[in-house]
Formats: sequence, C-alpha cells, structure tokens
Amino acid sequence: MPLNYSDKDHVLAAFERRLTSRVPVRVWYRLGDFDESSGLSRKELRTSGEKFAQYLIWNHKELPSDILTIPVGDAVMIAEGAGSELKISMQEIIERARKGLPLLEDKSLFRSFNLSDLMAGKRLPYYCQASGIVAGEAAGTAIEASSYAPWTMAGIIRGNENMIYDTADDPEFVHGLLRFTTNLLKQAALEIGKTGADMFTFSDPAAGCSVISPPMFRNWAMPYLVEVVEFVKKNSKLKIGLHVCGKVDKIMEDLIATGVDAISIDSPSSLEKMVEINRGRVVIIGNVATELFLDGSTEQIEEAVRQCVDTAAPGGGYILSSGCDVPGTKQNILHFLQYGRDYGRYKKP
Amino acid sequence: MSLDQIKQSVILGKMEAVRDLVASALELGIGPGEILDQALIAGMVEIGQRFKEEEIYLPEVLFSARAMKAGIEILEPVLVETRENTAGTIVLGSVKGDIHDIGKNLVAIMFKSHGFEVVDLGVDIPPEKFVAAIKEHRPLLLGMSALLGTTVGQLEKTIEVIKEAGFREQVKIMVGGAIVTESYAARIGADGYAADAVSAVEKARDLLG
Repeated sequence: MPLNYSDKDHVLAAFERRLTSRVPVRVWYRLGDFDESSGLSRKELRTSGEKFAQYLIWNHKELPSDILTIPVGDAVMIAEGAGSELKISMQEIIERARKGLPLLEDKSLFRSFNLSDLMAGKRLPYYCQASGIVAGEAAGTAIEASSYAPWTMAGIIRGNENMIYDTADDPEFVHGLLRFTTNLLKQAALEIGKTGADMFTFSDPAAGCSVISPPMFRNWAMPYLVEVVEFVKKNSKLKIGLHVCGKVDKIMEDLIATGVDAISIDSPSSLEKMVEINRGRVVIIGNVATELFLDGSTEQIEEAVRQCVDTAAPGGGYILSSGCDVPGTKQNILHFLQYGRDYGRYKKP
Repeated sequence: MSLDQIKQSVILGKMEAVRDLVASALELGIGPGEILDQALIAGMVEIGQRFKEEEIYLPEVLFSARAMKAGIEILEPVLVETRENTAGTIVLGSVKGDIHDIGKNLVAIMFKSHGFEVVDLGVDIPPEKFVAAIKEHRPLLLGMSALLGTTVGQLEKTIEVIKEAGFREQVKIMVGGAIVTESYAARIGADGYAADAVSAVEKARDLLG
C-alpha cells in the first residue's frame, strides 16, 4: 500500500472496496461554468480535441476533484451516427440543438435506424483525442468519460414528451430509436475505452421517477441500458457508472440490477436507503444537494458532507459527490472538496 | 353516459374515449361549461393530486392532459360562445440558456386545468422576451423555470430586467426548478416559489388573492 495516495488511488480503491486514507471526493460541474478565464474560446473547445483536453485540465486545476469528467457526445455525434439515413442536414440539427429543440422531432426524418461508423466522422475521434490527452496528463486523477444513456439520448432526439406518448402510440418507433442510441453508445464507449479512461458513466436524467414511472423504466430504459453495460464490461476494462437525476428510491434495486459498478444518486433520493439496499454490491456516489453549492453557507455544506460520509463511507465503496451538476460558485465547490477530504479521513481501526 | 365517465377517462388518459364521450354529452344537451368543470378539469385536478402524493408519475399526467385536451377541442367551438372569463393569464418560460421544458410544461398543464389562460413562451427565453410578453399579454403572474446550476442566475437577471423596464409592480413572479429553493426565490426578489406543478397553482392562487 502506498504511503502517499494519488486522487486516483482513492477512487479506484472505492471500486475494490479497499480503504486508503480518505473518502474520494468529486463534484459534477458543467462545462461552460468557468470557461471565460481559461484563455480558450468556446469555438476552440468545440472543434479541437486538443484544446478541449487543455480546457478540461485547466478546469480541473481550478476545481480539483478526484475524478475528472469528460462529457462525451452531442448533437453532431448523434447526427454523424445517423449519417445518410437522415433527411435533414447537419446544420439544421445543430441549429435545433442550439434552440433546445428535439433534434429529430419529426419521425419521418429517419429512413432507418442503422448506425454509421462514428470513427469515420469527426466527433467521436475528437472526444477520443481529448480523453487520451487528459488520461496522459492527469495521470494522478481518475478519468471518467460520461455520456447520456440510451433512453435519455433517445429523448433528446425525439423530445421526452413525444417519446412518452410514442411508448403507447408507436412502440416500434421507440424500440428502433433505442436500438440506434444503444448501438451508438456501445461504439462510443468501446472507443473511449481504448484511450486510457478509467470509467464510463451513463447519465440517465430522463429515466428517474421524476420523469417516468418505475414500470416504464423497467420496460423501456432498463433493457437497453443493461445491454450497453454488458457490452462495455465485456469489451473494455472501463468501470461503469450510472447517474440518474431526481428521485430513484423506487427503482434502486433495478439500478443495481443493470450490472453497473457504481451508482450516482441525486439529493432528492435517500442515501440511507441506497446504502441499505445495496449491501456493498456497487460503489455509491452522491448525494450532496446541488442547491447548497448555489447559496448554501459553509456550515450547511459541512453538515451535508458529514451526513453523507457518516451514512455511506464506513467500510469503503463510497465516493462523496454533489448529487448532480452544480451551479458555478467556485468558493463553495472548493470548500466542499477541501472539507470532504478532511472529514472523509477513514478512522484507523 | 355520465360526467363521471368522462372524468374517469381523463384520469385513465383515454384520449379517444374522452373525445367520444364529450361529443355524446353535448348531443345529450349537457352544458359545455359543466362538462369542462365537472369532468375534464375535475379529472385533471384529481390526477394532479395523485401526482403530488406520488401515487402516479409524470407519464400518467401527460396522458391525462392529452385526453383532457382532446375533450377541450370538441368543447371549444361551443365553449367560446358560452364561457365568460378565465381565471386570468399566466406567462411561463424556461430562462435563457435553459432548454428543459417538462417541468414547465407540467406547470402549464396544471394552470390550464384550473381555468387559467397560459401563454407558454417555451425554452431558452431571454429577459427581454419575458418583458415583451408582460407588455403584450398583461399577465397576472409570470412563472420562470431554471433547471440547471448554470442557468439559475438568469432568474435573478430576468427579474432585474423586468424591474428596469418598469413592469415589476404589474406582475407577480414565481420561480421554480430542480435546484431553486424558497430562500433563493426570496433572495432574488421573486414573489413565490413552488416545488411542483400542483403547488405552483396553489401558490399562485395565494399570491393572486
């Protein structure tokens, strides 16, 4: 056992249920929160994998979590995946993404759900380049690639409300769309797995009980999630994470049954219940309330850290984290990271 | 055929059944206002309550709202002739940079279910567009949603712009979204906050007296 653990050691130890000297600590933050001081332009970030990697590393130095997250996937990658099967131009898709509209709201735009070779396009290679550079330069940090899960990605394409109606009105279309997103994510995770990343986390904000019902999760989101998780585990060394926003108490057992290695829960869900149900089967990540990063006091943040650590850290297999994406209050994020590392020291037996 | 059958069909989200039953009810001479209030709205109110109590989930609400809308489409031609005032106009929108709309849409459904006229501006709405909507529609209340940490600051900014434009005293402002809290709403100068769509209607009624 090393005397001086790296941040990455703490994270990987959690996956092996080993205790290092402290609980690993991470914050989910969205790119764009802190970009102005980086000296890079948004255009550079979006077009150059190298610049994107530079930005991620710069951002990590500003807010040094134990996990550095590379967000993978966007409208362009989805459009490249659909390729010649679409009756709409790439520019139109980008424009719809900018306006926050469903990318392919009109079902007839899909000729078929065949997937193109993403590595023959530009976008997945861009993410792979960034991941490779980051994995090399931030070697002491756990590197996580993160993308939407099949159900949520399908909702981005079709629009969540439309897709919910489709499950009753046109189930075959939904299955076709989910087949497309599942195959796309398999390919993306497989390629990212070759770049030196440690983890791949599927984010499924539209699959929680705040958006769909438990039966709908089981019938629609879960089967495709299980398929992609099994595929990635079989074909890469990546640890697989799953994050679902909002309330998940009624599907916690289902989340574990997806076969992922780690589950990240949001603050509306019960960490205590997750620990109780889990019985050490998966790494638990979470679930400090995001609003505390926005306008919480130092004392409130410390109290939340203590509650989470006391509830989930004993015995290991836990990563202290914000429940979801956090607002950009740098001072609160830094205090959370520092206090989490201090309070999260494992007690010596 | 009874009003309760229509109400139950709304609750079960049976769009075709609601359409047919509403048409039959009109043929039988039942008043459109009665059908609206005692069947369609009553069904949605019950659905809203079940949703608030976490007995049902968002998809059930959406299917019921769609069924109610199908019924209203049948009623509308006759309803316009007989119905007088609505409960008032509400303007809704997700703030600039925020493209999430399910929560906001749900709030719109609930307000419509309670007889309000809703002007839904959509997502990614800059402050100036909210100001223009206040100017044009003269709403009793403006509801803004921000789901993301990165966009929540737009709530405060929009309120400031509304103040600067001189419209702040003319409209009540409510805010909501996953990370918004009551204390945050108060700090940025909103009149109210609601954690969910049903509470939003209750809070709005309190604010509007």
